[in-house]
Amino acid sequence: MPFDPDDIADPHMRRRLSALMPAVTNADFERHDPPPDMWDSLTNRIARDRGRGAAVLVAPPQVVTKRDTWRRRRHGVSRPRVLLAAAAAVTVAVGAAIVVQSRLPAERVVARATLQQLEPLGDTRASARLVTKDGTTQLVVDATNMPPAPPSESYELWLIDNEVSDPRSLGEVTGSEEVTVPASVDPSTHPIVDISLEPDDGDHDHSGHSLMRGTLQ
Amino acid sequence: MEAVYREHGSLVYSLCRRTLGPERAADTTQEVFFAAWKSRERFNPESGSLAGWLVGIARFKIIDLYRVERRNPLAPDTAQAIDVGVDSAGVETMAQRMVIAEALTSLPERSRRLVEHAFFDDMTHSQIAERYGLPLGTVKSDIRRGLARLRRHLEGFDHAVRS
Repeated sequence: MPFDPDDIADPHMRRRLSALMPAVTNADFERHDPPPDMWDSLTNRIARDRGRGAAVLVAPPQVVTKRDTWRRRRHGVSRPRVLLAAAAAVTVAVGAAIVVQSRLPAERVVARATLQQLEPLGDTRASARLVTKDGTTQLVVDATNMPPAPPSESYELWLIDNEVSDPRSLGEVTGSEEVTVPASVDPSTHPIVDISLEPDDGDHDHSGHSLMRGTLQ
Repeated sequence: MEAVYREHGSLVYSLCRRTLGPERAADTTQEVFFAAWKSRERFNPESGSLAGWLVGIARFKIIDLYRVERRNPLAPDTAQAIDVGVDSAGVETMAQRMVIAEALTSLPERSRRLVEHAFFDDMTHSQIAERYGLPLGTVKSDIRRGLARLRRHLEGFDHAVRS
């Protein structure tokens, strides 16, 4: 359709609409209502997230020396890599801080991890818990003071095996998140929770640049 | 939040359902509204429509899910995504088309009809004016207002946050 020049002043938007409009089909107008229980489920989740504000969790750092074989393989370099891993992370409530428990009977905490910084990341603190809920397994990450990722980079959440050779992505994160663990990933064989910094380069492999790690137990 | 969900839940769920299949659409829709709630302070109504913004968030969630499944090829859910037959680029365009459809649906009846004649039937403004017996200026202003609504929805889409 020839635009009247005054209709849309921005030429980019004009081109975009010109390309999109003819492609719109009847299916694009079709709507399906979400399942009726979704609203209740959503409000429960929001209420739970609001409750987390009172939780303060820290853990004493534990240093474990390990060869990061997967990282060496990726870069083809046989340099040893010392990494911090919370192999026996212990979660300690500080002072009278309140750890908010889930009030949802359907949710069961299977394991917890406290993530340690592998390189300086300001005042960032993070913990994770593995929960089962409604027949699915979810990893709930609580992060505080996490700075935004640098431009053209993003944070990504992973579960990694004990040999650190098989990282499985759980997707991008920006801070506190609740993600579903795919059925193909077994947290008992991949207990290491890892947050990495990923460049926006189209490479779906782990960048090798891990920022925080902890082990579910 | 409830008003937002009631108003736009079916739009977000329909996109998720088309791209992920009905089984996973519910979880992802919930992810979208939860993300929207958490980043609600970043929504600026002056930058675009709420419907477009929500669909923009949904687009990110769906594409992230695709990425996860590509990296974990043994995921049984992958088969569902393949069955739906949409890739990440397809999600982008489908989401924008649905944003446009939503904007058209929200237009007053006459304005919607005129915009659809102009775009889908490729009629000129003069032809539309003649067909409906409307002054040419009225047709132009109706279409202009309609296109402004479409633009506003797409701008909302563009301002969606990845969270």
